[in-house]
Amino acid sequence: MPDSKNNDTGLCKEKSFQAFFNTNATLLRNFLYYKYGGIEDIDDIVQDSFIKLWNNCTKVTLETAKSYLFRIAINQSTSLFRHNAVKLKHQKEVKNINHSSTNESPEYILEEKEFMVKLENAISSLPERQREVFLLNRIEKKTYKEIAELSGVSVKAIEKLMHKALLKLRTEIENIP
Amino acid sequence: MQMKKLDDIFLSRWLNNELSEDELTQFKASKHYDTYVNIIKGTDKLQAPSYNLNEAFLSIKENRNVENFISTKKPSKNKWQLGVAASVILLIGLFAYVNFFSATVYSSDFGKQLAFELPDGSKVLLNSKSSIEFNERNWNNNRTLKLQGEAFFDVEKGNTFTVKTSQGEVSVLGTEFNVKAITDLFKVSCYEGKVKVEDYTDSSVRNLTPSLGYQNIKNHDAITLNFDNTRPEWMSQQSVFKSTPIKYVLRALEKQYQLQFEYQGFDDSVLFTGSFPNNNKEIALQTVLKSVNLKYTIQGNSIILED
Repeated sequence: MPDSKNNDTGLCKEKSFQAFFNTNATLLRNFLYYKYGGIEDIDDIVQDSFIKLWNNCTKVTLETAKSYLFRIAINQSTSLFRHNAVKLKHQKEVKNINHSSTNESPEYILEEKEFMVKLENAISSLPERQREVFLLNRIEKKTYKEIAELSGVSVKAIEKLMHKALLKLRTEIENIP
Repeated sequence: MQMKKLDDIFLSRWLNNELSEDELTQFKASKHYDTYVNIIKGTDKLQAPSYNLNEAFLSIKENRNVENFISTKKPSKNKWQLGVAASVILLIGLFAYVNFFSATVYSSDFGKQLAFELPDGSKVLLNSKSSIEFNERNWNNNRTLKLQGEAFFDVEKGNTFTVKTSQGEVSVLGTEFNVKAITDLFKVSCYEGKVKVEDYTDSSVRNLTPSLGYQNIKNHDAITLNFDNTRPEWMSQQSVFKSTPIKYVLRALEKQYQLQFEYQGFDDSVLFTGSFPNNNKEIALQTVLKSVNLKYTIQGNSIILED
């Protein structure tokens, strides 16, 4: 069904769809990235999901569009990633450059570097749900409630995953000499 | 004291600053505490690889056109008939749904602003953590919308344009104005044309002309303001306050940077006049808190204030 006839939801028009894309694309992309790793496949899935949403723009309202979008993306990903081992790589960019100049001896910097390697490995070894929740909260600064809404589960479930993730990260890090 | 058994969301509560004082003291004394703190500090330095929105959108547009072109070329009579029957039902269903139940909602997240156009071409710029709700279908007959938070409006000429908030409403013919309505605070500034302001709290009505503003804060007298800027400061990455109780300034900081202030025992009705930048958390915190002589410590998203 072409969308020219019925664009009640406002999502069909290119302008409003682009606005919706701009507010949600980065989050969707990072959400999948935190969950699965592997940038190229992820970007394809993000693209396909938005095309599907646009083609179905008459069937969703602006309020339901976000959860619809995430559902499409998750469905597509599970078939694709089921047999893939996940290796996450993060940019080692430091976000806050402001307060870096003081009291950082070379030893301290080295120690911190070593810790970051351990941490990244530990994050990579987390089960995907735990990693997704942990990174959405810490990097995307999403509240437990917002994360719960994204994947359609209870806040309590997110809190449990978050707790487990931290517990697992700590044991991983402390067990590496 | 007996160490309480750690529940299965203990660490989540810690991150959210929901631990009781006792729990926190015990937790800080445990041998794993430092590792947890380092994990959080370390993770806060990580980032996902950057994502080029414009490029991604262009490629979506291209691929979509290709896809639609291919799918409309497929000839299949029987399927086509079936398709029409199904679409008609869907159209009716959708029409009823949109018409009677659905309002269009735009909302902005912490620290983000959102610009959009209304169906008549009027422009809206939403400040952070604000939302607007209106009926798109009936818009040209009834230009009324509901606002929570703060927004700037550039209204096209036409019939009356009304912004309703929980504390008052603002109506105009075609003009530029800014409305801010958060709990206990209602502020309107007129930049062009003429604006009518109806304050629900004291049922007063007044007209504003350009460079005039109106501000009503709970437990303070309503005042008329003069200003000389041509756009609200938040549109240029600044939040400006004039004789505003500090608690509203703190609330604005919370919205802008997704923070939570925790404090006890200082007078949060102290008036603040000044501004903070919307794109630098550290400087924003320093400017506001130093000017009222408050010390602060940052714990994740929480800021603990001391006199």
